[in-house]
Amino acid sequence: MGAVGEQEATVELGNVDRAMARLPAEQREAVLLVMVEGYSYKEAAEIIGCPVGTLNSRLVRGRDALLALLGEMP
Amino acid sequence: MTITPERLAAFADGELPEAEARIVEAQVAQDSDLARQVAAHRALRQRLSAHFAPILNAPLPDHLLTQLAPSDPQVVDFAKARDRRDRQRGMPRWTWIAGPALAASLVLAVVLPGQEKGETTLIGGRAYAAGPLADALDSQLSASQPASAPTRILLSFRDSAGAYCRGFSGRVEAGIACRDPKGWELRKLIGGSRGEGGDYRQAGSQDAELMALAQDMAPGGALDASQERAAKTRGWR
Repeated sequence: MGAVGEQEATVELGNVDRAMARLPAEQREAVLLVMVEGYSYKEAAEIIGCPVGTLNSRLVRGRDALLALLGEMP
Repeated sequence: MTITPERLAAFADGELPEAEARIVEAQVAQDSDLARQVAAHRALRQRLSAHFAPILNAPLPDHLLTQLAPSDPQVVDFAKARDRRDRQRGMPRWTWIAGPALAASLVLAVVLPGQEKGETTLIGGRAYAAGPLADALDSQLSASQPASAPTRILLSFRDSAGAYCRGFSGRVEAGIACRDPKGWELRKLIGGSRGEGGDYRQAGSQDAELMALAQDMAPGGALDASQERAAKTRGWR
């Protein structure tokens, strides 16, 4: 049973990794900082060195691309 | 008033000022399509943070831990926070320089092993992995690669300059590739170690030769599975 669970986890890893790898760098960066590392938009924008509005739109584009790649279009 | 996708995302992430958030919240409550988008945003966020949690929570390397007083959690937390921040500064700004069109224009009229199969290419006179070989170097983890993978990753390590390198063994060629801004430079290349015999697999003498070469190049030894996965997530930078 454990083996089946592990296998599923591996498949899941592959999907998310592949989808992330297909994002343009700036979108992946925005998604990683906000959705994975949990930074606020302001903090993430400071880390990247871009305006908050730019960070916000990169995040939305990256998110939409990920949802589409993972087959989870809203 | 229409809600832009950016504003809706900011709402879903709790980034709007309270008054504005209340306005958006009221609209979301009346619009099932907006509500679905907010739910999808939050579900993705949850999925990503669950996916990457093992990497973010990976323990510090022993040599860092031993420098700290283990009985003082505050010190450890501080070190972890600093480690995180350092990693963010070094976050890869991926540039896929070796796009197919660009790579093709840079190919010189020199035949490399594997070039005719699209697995190697020349960039600026140096040999780089391309196509399926580059994909395998980018994405395959030595711990979890499928047994049927055409290219097998033998190990990953950092060379003396800190670049990530990977020893690989495929049907066409075997060797050691190290990551630089242009891609995976093929530092060592020896003949392929696989016969045509499908699933029959035996570690050939070339695999042993490669491991010996890697040992000479890797002052810190091979990466373990979690280090390898973390390196992959950061684009091998």
